[in-house]
Amino acid sequence: MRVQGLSRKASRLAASLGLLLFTGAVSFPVVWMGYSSLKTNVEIYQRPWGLPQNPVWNNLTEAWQVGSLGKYVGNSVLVTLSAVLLIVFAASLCGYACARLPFRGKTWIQSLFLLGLVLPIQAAVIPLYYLLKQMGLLNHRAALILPYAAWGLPIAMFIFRGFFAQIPKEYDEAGRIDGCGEFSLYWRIFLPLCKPAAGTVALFSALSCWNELLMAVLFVQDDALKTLPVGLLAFFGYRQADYSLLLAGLTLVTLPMLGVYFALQRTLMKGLTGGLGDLR
Amino acid sequence: MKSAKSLTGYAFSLPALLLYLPFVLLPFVGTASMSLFNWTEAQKPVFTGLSNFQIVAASPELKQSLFNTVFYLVATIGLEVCGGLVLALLLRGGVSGAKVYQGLFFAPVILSMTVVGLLWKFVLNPYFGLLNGVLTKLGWESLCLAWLGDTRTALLSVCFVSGWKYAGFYMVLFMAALTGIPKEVMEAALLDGTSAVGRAYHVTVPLLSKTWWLCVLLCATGAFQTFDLIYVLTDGGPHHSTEVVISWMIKVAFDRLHLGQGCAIAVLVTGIVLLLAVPYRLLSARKGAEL
Repeated sequence: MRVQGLSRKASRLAASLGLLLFTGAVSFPVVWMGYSSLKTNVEIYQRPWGLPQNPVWNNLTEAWQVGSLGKYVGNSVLVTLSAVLLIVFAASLCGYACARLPFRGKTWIQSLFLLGLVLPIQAAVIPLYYLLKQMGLLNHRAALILPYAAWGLPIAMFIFRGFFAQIPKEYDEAGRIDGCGEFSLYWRIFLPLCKPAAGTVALFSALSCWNELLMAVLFVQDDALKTLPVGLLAFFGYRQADYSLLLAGLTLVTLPMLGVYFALQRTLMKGLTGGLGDLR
Repeated sequence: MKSAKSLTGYAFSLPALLLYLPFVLLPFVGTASMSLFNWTEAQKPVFTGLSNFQIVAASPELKQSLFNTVFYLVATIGLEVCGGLVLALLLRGGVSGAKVYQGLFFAPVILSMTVVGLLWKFVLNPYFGLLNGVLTKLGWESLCLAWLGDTRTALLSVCFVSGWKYAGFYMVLFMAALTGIPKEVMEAALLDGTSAVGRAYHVTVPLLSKTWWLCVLLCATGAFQTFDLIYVLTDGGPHHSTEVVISWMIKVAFDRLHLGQGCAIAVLVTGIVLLLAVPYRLLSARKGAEL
């Protein structure tokens, strides 16, 4: 029995060691980026991982201005917000119809969306580019908003459908007695009930829109409309050797994201393990 | 009454379909049909049957990018799925602060590949990067390499960056599955005097097989869709040593403007992804699983 206790202690120690090692591997690059952004270029070269001797806070403000990060953040906010609103609206309506309204095309619509869960988005970009060109949408924000919304729909629709299907029938009847039409039944009774589902959908769709790169690279070339990932790459392109400035820009983009993450951590992981996160 | 209701059903589905049909399904019809045409931007498309597929199949770049993609697939399963499983098992071992670790390990998942890629470009920089800095401090200067600029290390380096980002993702999936294992099973194994490693190997891992296959599937289909990380870190180089199918497809279509050939590659990718994902979805649907 004592031997077993000892081996348990040893294995616990090994576990802690492994976890600490991985903690270092995960956090140190980010921490290093953070303090290196306060160094001068010379310092970065001479002492790659030493702390800054005289923190140059000016790097941060300069990176924000030189990299026009404000402009790119603004674009990303606009595109993300519009796409998320579209997703929540269209997917909840369709999910509501598929869960609670009897109509003939229902199975068809659901199989179509099921297909959307497995199709690789990257394999669609070539015709999508020319479709958007024909529609005159290239180099408009809509060239990102509409595809982002469309590709966010399938998973969102199934989350909403699952949620609406669980609501008891009595809500329908009560609403109808109150004289609700079909739309106001959805809008006034069911949509407010599904706030948790809408929250999960909004959070995950916002994250994938905010981070999207491929379509953002292809469909918007006008610098005034670029979203943050593409704008950041552009900044890295024209300031190639100005390492302290680039690190400062990267820090400015990363730290707020991590802040938001640590604030919303619980909701995020619950959404992921609740069945249908699609972060990958 | 009934027909009014079914009309409402259609009306309610309309906004979703108006987005979904043109921007998701139509492009796939486009990809499939344009793969049969000689299509360049300047000229009118000419029907050429399967010749795009023949050109693509004969290209040495196909072999190279398929090889790299499969390498990436295997490496990321090892680093991300196995890594995530190990992390989950370690956290289940009853260490204090498990929630803090979990939160920390998941953090890179929410960062964009762009940010992660740019950060790691600095970390792996041969002149002032963190990695070579650490190696020098340890006195292992012979190990200091141009990680992303060397054909021998570039692909593996890219895989490690992906592993750094996603191990926490699979950890969370495994953690969720582990909490689903009934306590009695664990207690029985404990009473039998099985060691921690033995318990993990004989009890936990077999019970996780459903989650395991889901993770492998996500990783495998992910590899055939990888673009962002490659684009940011190496753009397929040096000498195509990190070229994956999607990065190659983008080059063929948008740099060399062989749009038909690009579509042929896209058809190939779609076929592979569907071949991997559809049987899994059908099987798990039959078994009544959620995913």
